[in-house]
Amino acid sequence: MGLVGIIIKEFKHIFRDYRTLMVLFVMPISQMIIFGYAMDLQIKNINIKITDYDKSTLSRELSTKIDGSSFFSITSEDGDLNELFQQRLLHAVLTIPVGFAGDLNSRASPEVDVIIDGSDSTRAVIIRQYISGIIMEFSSELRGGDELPINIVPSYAYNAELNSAFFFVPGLTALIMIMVSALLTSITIAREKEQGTFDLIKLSPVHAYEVILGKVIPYLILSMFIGIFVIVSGVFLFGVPIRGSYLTLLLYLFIYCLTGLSFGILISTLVSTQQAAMLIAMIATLLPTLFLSGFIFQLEAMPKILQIISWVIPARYFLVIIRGLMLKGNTQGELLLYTSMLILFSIVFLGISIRRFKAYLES
Amino acid sequence: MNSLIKAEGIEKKFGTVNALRGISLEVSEGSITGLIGPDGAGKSTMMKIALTLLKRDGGSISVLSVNSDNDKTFIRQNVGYMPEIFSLYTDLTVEENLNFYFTIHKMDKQDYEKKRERLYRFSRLEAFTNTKAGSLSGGMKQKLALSCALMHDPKLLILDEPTTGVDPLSRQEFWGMLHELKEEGVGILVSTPYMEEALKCDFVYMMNKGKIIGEGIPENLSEEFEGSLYEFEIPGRKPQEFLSELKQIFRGDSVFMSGKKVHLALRGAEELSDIRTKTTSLDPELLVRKKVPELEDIFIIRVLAEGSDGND
Repeated sequence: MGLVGIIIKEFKHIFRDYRTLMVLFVMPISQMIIFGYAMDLQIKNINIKITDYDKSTLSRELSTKIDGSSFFSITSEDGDLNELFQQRLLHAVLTIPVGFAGDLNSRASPEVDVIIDGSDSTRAVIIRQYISGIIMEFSSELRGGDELPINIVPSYAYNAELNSAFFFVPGLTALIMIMVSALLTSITIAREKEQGTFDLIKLSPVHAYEVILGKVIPYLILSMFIGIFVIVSGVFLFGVPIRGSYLTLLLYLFIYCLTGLSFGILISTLVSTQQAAMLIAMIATLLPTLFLSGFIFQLEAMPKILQIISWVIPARYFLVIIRGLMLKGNTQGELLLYTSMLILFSIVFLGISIRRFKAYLES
Repeated sequence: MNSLIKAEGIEKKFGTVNALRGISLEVSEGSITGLIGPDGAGKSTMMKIALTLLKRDGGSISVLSVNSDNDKTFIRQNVGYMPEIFSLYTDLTVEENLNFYFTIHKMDKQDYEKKRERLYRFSRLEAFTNTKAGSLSGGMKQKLALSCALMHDPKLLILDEPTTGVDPLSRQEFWGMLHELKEEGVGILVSTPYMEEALKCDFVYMMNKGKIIGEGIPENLSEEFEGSLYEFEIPGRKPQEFLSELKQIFRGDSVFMSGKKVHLALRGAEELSDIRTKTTSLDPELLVRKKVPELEDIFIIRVLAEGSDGND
C-alpha cells in the first residue's frame, strides 16, 4: 500500500539523519536550562550595606536578622556610595539613625533609611518587599505581634514557593512542541518539492491524503517522543510536578503535536523551498507563542485586538491544558473546551492542506 | 507502428518568454526518438507537457492514444519518467528506492521479487543493493533512476538528459539498455545535448529556442545537406585567431568553430581551388579540406540559418 510505503520511507529518513535527530532532543534541553537560569523570579545574593549609627542591641539585632535571611549578604565595602552602586557591588543601603532603640522602647516609630538601586525596577521592587518584610517581622516580634491589625500572609496556590520552573516548564513545552512539529513537516515536504522527488510521486497513483498522512504519522510519533522527553526533563531537572493524569497529558500532548504538524504541512503547501518553509514555520510559531499565548505576558492585560488574535494561537489553549495538568491537577473534562479548539485547528489545517496538496499533485 | 506521443503545434510561454513555438513531434512504439539541442532549447518543457506535468498554451497532444486534456491520470500512471536532475532519495539504498517506487505504484506485493530480479539483471545493480543512492557514481545513479522509471512496465519512457555528466563508458552501457528496451517494444523519447548520441536514435528532432529546426533519421540528416562543407586549420594557431578573418571573407555564409578547426558551410557547391584563392591573404600555412558534414555541423548550420532569416 502506498501509505505504508511512505511511512516506512519517512522513518528511514528520520533515523538516518541522526544529526537532525540529535538537535531535536538537545535543543529543548538546552533551552530549558538556559531559561532555568535566566528566568529565575527569585532574587538572591542582594548585597546590602548597613550603616548603624545607633549601635544599640536592637539595631544589631535588626542587622543580624537581615544577615540571617537567605536573600541578603551584608557587605562591609567602604567608599563612595554612588561608585559602589555603579560597580554593582551594592544593591541597597540601610541606615539606622541614632536613637533608633530609644524610639522603639518609648513606643515611638523610628525611621530607617533605605536606598535601593532602582536601575532595574523589577528587582528594586522585590528588594523593597524583602526589606520591609524583614522589618515588619522584626517590629511585630518586638511588640508581641499585636500592633498590626491586619497582617497579610500571601500563599501562592499551585506554586507555593513561586518557583519559576513551574512557570516556564509548561510554557516552554508549549513553545518547543509547536515550533518543532511545524518545522518537521514543513521542511520535509518542502525538501521533496525542492529535490524533485514529488515529480515522480505525481506520476504515481498515490493520493494526496496518503502523502500527507504518510508524513504526519511518523512525525507525530517522533514529536511525541520529543514532547515526553521535554516534560520528563522539566520534572527531573526542575522538580515540576504532574498533578493531573499522565494519560490525559499524553493524549492532549498528542493532539497538540498533531496541530503543530498539520500547521507545518499547511505551510509546506504554500512554499516551494526548505528555506522559506523554515522561516515561515519559525516566525509563525515562535513569536505568537512567546507574546500572544499567555506564556510570558498576561492576555487579560492586552488590548482587545491582541486578545482576539490570541484566539487563533494554538499554544494559548495548550498552555491552559498543560498548566492545568502539571500544576493544578485538572481533569480531562475540565480541559475539554481547550482540547476541542486544538482538534478543530488540526482538522482545519489538515483539510486545507489535503485540498491544496491534491491540487498540487494534479497540477 | 503505433504512435505513443503525437504532438501538434505545441506552444508554451513562461511570462514573456516563448519556451516552445509550435513544436510537432511523434514518438512510436519500439523506437528511440531523440530531442537534441542546447540548454534552453525547450527539450525539458516539451517533455513535461507530454507528461502532463506542465500545461501547454497552444496546440494539441495525445499520449498513449489518450488526449492529455481528458485523462491526465491515465497518462501519468503509464509513462516512465527520468527527470533531468536525480530525483531519488539519496539517503535510501538502491533496494529501498526500488521498493518505495514499487509501493507507490500500488502493484501486487507478490510481483515485487520477480520485478526486482528482472530490474537488477537488467541494470546490473545487484552488487549495490545496500549502497545508498547518494554514494553511487553518476552512471549507476542513472541506471537506478531508469530502473525506478521502469517499475510499472511503462510502454512509453521519457528520459530527460539521462547521460549528461555521466562518464563515456557508462553512457555507452546506458544506451545499450535503451536499445534492449526498444527491442521489447518500448517507445522512448530521450533528450541529449551530445550530438554523437543522436546517432543512436532512430529519429531525431533538433531543437533550438523553442523550435524544431530539423528532423529525420540521423544518418539521412547529414546526407540531406545540399551545400558543401570546408574545414580550415592553421598548424600551431588557435581557431579563434583566424575565425573573424574567415567570417569577413565569407560574409553571408556559415562560418563556425568545430573543435580546433573552423568550418565553412556554403549553400552551393564551390571548387576547393576557389576557396584557396579567396583565402590567400591569410596565413600561408592555412590548410583547407572538403569535409563530409556531421550531425553537429548540420545542427549549427541550421541554427545559423534560422538566425540570419530574422525569425527570432
